[in-house]
Amino acid sequence: MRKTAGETQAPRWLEVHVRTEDAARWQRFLALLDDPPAAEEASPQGELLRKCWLAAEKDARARIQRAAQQAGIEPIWVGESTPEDWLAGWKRFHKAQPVGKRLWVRPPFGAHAPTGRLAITIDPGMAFGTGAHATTRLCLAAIEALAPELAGASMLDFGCGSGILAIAAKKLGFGEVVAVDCAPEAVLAARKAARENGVGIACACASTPPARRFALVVANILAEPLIALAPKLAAATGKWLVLSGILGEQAARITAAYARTGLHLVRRTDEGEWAALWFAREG
Amino acid sequence: MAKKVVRVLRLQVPAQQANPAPPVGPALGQAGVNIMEFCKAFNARTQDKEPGTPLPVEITVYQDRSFDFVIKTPPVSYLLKKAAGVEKGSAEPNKKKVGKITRAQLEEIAKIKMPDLNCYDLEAAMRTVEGSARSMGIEIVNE
Repeated sequence: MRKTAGETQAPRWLEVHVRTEDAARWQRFLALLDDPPAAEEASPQGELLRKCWLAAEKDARARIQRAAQQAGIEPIWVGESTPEDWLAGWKRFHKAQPVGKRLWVRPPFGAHAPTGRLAITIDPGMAFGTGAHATTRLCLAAIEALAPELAGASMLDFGCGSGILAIAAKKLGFGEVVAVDCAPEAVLAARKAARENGVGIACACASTPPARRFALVVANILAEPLIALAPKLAAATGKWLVLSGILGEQAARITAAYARTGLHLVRRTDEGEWAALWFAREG
Repeated sequence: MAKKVVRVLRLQVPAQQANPAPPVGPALGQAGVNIMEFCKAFNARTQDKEPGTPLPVEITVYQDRSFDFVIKTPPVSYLLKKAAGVEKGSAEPNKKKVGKITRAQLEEIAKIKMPDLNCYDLEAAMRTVEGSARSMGIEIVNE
């Protein structure tokens, strides 16, 4: 089948489970398989399950069998492992939740919004931003708080992930909303989420913000890229810039980087170890 | 009351580069942990590390599927190979040496590893690291 633009074939994996206390044999087994990704899982009772993952090439099962024999261990399970299986594990624990005063973030299988709250439906895939993370909630609260002042104004969600912040902005009354991410999977996820939420958002794949101004720019990424992008994110900011993905202890460095761009820090909000910084343009 | 622990996961993740590929995706997903939430937290906490450095991480998963994690120092084998500038340790460490490091480099590695070694002082840590070097066919030279 021909692939459409941006569609990628997810790699297939074989997962191997081994129960052995013998770390040296396990290490030998992994070395014979050229050190594939591996993990150990201990139960509260102290039972140890060791796992590793190999690309599901056609000789992979034979290689696993040979390596197990040579290392003197016996896998208790070898089977196919897909990203859908991995996600299914935590989807069971993912529930709809209220965010801020007006929003309700739900997975497609979660409870509907109570009266008075705006629902944002996000299918928890591999893109960041399900509403479960403190940084997402800090940004959503900021967008909600700024929405009355910026009704009808433009908004940029930089590093959009699932598109949750852009969708929230549109539902809260912003005008033109643009969502940008450097990961093509995130752009696809955001586009799909916008469609499913019935809002019009321009989604683009880029690693820098567009060279124009938005009344509000929100960037929930990480400290180092926020510092590296300070001049560009500041240049894209018409009035407000909200930054997150920042650990509390990293806030001072970010503030210093943005002080040089002519924006000033107006507010800082915190949840757990995470912080969000609100900057404004003078005048 | 303390939260009930349902699982403890141990894996190695490259600094600043946690992503949903194995081992992170399947190990965490199967334990009911939000994969991207972990990736974000791990990448944020390793912003001051050299990108790509393998870091052992121990993740404690609670009954409500919230989690805590502790990042350890890079594996001693990684630090030794990097210092010696070699790709692999020796398959026959007694007979075939693959590289060498200076005593000063050994001390540097011991200092990095101190928090995770069961050692009371730097000298004991250096002896432990020296043992690892020997088992990999990496010689220690005085200068």
